[in-house]
Amino acid sequence: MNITEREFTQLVHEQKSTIYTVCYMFARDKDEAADLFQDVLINLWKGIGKFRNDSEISTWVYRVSLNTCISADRKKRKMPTTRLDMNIDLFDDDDTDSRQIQVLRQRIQRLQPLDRAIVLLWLESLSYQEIADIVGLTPKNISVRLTRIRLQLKQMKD
Amino acid sequence: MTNESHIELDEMQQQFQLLREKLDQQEIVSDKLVSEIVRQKISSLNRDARIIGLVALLGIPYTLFIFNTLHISTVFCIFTTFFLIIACVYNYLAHRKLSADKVSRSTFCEVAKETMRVRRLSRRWFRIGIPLLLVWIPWFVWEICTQTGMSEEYRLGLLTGSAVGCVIGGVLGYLQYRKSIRLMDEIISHTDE
Repeated sequence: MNITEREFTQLVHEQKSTIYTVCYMFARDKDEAADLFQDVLINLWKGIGKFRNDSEISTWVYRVSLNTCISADRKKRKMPTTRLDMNIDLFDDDDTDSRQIQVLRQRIQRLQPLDRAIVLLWLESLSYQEIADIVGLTPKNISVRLTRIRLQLKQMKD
Repeated sequence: MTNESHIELDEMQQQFQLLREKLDQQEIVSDKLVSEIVRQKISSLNRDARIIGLVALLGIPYTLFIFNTLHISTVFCIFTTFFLIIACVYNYLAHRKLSADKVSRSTFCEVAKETMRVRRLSRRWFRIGIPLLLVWIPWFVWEICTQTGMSEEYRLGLLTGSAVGCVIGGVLGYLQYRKSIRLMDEIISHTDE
């Protein structure tokens, strides 16, 4: 898929919530979320030329976002070369909605990365087959894991 | 599934919905910022990769030049050159498969496994590199100590400077290596199930 910078910017705006959701759930703080967001954008730009429309664009964006977060080089977090000023701060906001969101994040962050990815995709209302395609397991594995994750979340003390 | 589980799942769904609504209302990043990332950052990454490659290529003849100036033996020069080339090639091969292409086309598990492979190879290099260094350092010291025509002050200065550099470099390198391995092992250990 050939894409212009304007089209890519449009894509980012349409998928910004998806991208930031993943980064937010994998990051330890605001700065790390911003760094991950930047890395995801870079990987999206690098990979958009090879996207063959064999899945929904949002599914592909989820795939790249999750993979970027799992393979992020955390050494770089100590010495960022470009500070990304983002117009969002879910980590420090103190309104009722933000506190609810932080409770969700705290619970999801206690899960291992693979389970975290599965839960996020499940919360996004993706089917077991779609989740399996992104994660690389079978739908049956996804079902079994989700049952275990639900029990694990239930036992977590907030 | 009990009613309690349903309530908790519903709660999570509601919280997730709040998150998405909040994000949809925010700009998060401006057009200008996206352009800046795409143009500057990508160019910067490519430029950095070229510079690193060039430095690695120039580093070998530079090292040989310095050794030649110090009248270091040919065997030692060949050994050092071989060591540096092996290090560069190994590093390139270890990281080659973890590319942006892989990130955009592979599943989450595939990327996690590839990341684990890179980490395993990094550990393996540590087990290869340390013994090689333990050979290289005493050999270097011996080469300097057996040089004729060098004043004792110069020799001592050279050895002291080399020792300080080795210690600092070794400690920092080891600490960075340990941190990197530990962080990635934490992230991907359960993905390998």
